[in-house]
Amino acid sequence: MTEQLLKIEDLSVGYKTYRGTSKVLNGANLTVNAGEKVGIIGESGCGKTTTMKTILQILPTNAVIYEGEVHFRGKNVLRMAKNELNELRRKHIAMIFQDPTAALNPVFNVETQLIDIIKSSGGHEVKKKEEFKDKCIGLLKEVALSDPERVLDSYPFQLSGGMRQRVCIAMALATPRYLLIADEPTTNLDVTIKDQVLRLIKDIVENRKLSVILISQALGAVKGFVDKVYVMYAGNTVEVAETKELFSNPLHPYTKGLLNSTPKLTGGGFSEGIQGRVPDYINPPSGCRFHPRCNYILGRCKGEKPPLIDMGGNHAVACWLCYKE
Amino acid sequence: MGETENILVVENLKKYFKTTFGTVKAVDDITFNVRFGETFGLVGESGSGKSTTGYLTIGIYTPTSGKILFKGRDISMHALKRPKSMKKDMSIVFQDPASSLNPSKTIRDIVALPLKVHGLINSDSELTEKVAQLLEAVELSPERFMDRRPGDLGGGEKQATAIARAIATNPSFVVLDEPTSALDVSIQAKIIKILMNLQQELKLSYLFITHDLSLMRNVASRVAIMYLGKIYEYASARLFFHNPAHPYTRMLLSSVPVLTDEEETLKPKDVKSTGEVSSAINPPSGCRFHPRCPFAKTICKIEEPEFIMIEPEHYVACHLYTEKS
Amino acid sequence: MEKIRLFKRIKQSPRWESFRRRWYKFSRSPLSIAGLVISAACIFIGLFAPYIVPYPEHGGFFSNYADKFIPPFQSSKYVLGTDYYGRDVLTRTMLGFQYSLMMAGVVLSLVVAPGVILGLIAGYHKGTWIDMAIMRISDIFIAVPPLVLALAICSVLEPNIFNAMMAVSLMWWPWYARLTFNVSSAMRNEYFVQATEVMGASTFHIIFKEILPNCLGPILTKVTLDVGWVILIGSALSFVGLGAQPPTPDLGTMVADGGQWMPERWWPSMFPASAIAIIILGFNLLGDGIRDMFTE
Repeated sequence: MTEQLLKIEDLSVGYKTYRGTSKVLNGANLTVNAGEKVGIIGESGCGKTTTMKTILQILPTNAVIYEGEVHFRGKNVLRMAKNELNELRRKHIAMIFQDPTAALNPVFNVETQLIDIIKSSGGHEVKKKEEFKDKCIGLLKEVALSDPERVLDSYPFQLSGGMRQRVCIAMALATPRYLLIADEPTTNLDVTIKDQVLRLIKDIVENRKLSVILISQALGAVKGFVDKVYVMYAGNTVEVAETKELFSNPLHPYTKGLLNSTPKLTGGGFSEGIQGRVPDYINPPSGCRFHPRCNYILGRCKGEKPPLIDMGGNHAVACWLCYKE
Repeated sequence: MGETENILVVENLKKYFKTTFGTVKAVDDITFNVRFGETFGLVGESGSGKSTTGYLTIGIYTPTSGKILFKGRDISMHALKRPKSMKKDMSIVFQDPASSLNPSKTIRDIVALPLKVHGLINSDSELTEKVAQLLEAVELSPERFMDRRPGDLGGGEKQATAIARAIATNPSFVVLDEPTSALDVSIQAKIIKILMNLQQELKLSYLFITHDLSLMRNVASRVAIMYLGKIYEYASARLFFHNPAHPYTRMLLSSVPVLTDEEETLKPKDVKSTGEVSSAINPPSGCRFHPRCPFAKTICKIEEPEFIMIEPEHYVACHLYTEKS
Repeated sequence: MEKIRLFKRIKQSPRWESFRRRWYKFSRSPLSIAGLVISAACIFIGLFAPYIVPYPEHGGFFSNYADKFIPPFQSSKYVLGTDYYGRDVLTRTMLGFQYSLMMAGVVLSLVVAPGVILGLIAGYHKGTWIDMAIMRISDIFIAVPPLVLALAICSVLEPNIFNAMMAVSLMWWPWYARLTFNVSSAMRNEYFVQATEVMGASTFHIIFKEILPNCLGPILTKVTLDVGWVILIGSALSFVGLGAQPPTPDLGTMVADGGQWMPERWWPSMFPASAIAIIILGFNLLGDGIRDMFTE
């Protein structure tokens, strides 16, 4: 069952600002198959949120899509009509955002917001009002919220961060979907709650056999969860491999630097991090966008942007160091 | 505990906040000390009171009761009441780099301010020179950054500026309140490296507050864990991580996302994270952790545990251990 | 050579950078540009009216009953027509700009500084008696309907344009105190203010050198929008006879004088009234643009 659910090819997106156009995405690639769990690792500003927003077409007004294709279940999202897009957002793809407080409407209680989602996504068999409430309680129980009646009656400000995020997960999974996009769903939560919420998402995803895209900066969170990992830097996909392979055998200098920079629970001190800073997207570096920060730079890196080179075993790297004639 | 050994001594410190919902017992009778030249780590989740402790030390809050002694002198009061000469001997680096720098000022003015306030340097050109020196110490090139505004800088650079400002008056003690939580992983490594180097060069003592255990392992020499306003365990870093005694410590350690297998073996397996942090307005009776503790006994609900030493440099407050000793 | 180098240095300084960014936000909206143009034109007319009007003497005691009530757009001599006394409506309207803008200028210069300072002090000491004292006093002034207060003051004192300005100033300052209080008290607990307190900086420094520069956005927006409001209130006072007295070509007075001949001879009233509307419109649009400049 390796039906291709989502395919992003060579996506280039920019934003218009007062200083010019900032070309954030510079040929991003992503493939998600049905039932697959995919992780995207990258630091802030690397374009992962821009990519997700492009999939759902919720980019801000000053965004410009230069080129590239986004195919979802065979159809090109970038050319979809309004009603097709609505169907995409209401029935096919669900998204969990980083900040649960901002994702919930503060003036409506949880029940109203849940019912809103269930109603607008259609495809539900519920007809009567009481049945709606029962369904909501069922959903809240599924996300391990004790005392669902009380939560349904509450407003978001009355709930803790972890509970809000669980409500958001319940909202995302209220109706059957093909794909779940989780954009740093646990970054704003406490350590022990992070663990619980991630375990919860994992259980639900495995029970329902959903496809997931998990975006995170916390490499450890991604490792325990996904089958395949994409590493993004400055709007490019720089490496993709199966999880075990990526963490044991990283090939791209950026991936190596990232793994080195993570402090280890066993001690051992700190690495230097990665020198330099994220590039200025208005005047991005030529060739490989990582070259100003790279310790292994070749002559070619400044002039030509490396494509994703297949290294066998589902492992691909965009780096001239790995290129063999 | 000779007076010459400790730069900071905190005794029975309490801080209660009166709110319309009740009294929030943010910090409820804690005692610890920071030795000269060491990094003392305070770890805990939201609501633990660790940030409040840091703010009490630096004088942003006035203690409700208890004592804070800095180099032997009693400073248990708000910063506005403290003698000015003391203020140049301790400083703080805040969690959010964006709001800890005045957006309308240049980096030069921000870093020069403490020098001007304490009248350490008066001539403009000497001031600029000193600021350039400080910026170089935090790896920011003065030519590039001196005249910029905080809005032009990235997160890591802003935090580096905050550090430069903190060490401007050559203090002996710095409170670091989650200094890298808002930063990307690769930048975090860089900032921590800078902090460690500065500690060596300037013989600084740090109170390092964070929720990130992997980070703490690599920076602190002694660690204390806080939960709902109380300290439940403190030990040298090695003992804290290799032989965690308190169930909450074990729960926190088991929730840390790690990358390597050797770190995985270090994580306790007997406790999985459950439940949420209770409210600090009506904390649970007896041991505050008992509602979430898998080993809770009857006595835990009734009596607060006392600290006992289970091995040299390792103290824990838990009824599981008071019986055994 | 020196000039070019200086220019280049200015271009790269952070102030220019923030100005560029702000101008970009401003210029996105055509309405803001329109506001800028209209306001600039009004200020120009206000400043240079005596030198550019066709009949400067019509601004004072003047009568030419031969030319009275000539309708507008019919004679090239009196483009907007003449009033009961044969005075050129265009001249008097343009001179009226001068009085209106002068009123706005005087009132706002008197009111902004004290209001902002009091608001800053109250905001920094939020929750203490200082805050209570300042804000409750300003609440008292705000509670009285503005026009009523101005009318009360003006009817007690001699009705002239100077007293009208004083009356309007007296009831305008609390709005600045309140605005600045809201902005500065929110900022008071930000980390950067805490950092300077902990550092040992003086209260004066914190209030005026740290907090104030960040309040300028809302204050500037309000000043611009207030130009329109002050002119409106001032015209209302003149309309009821408590501001400028005839024959002073104040826009409100002209609307009142011409009212008795409405609607057949509409032009001595309508053109000054339209002038008031245009000034307010221009400054409102400009104010919106300035607000955009300071919004992220």
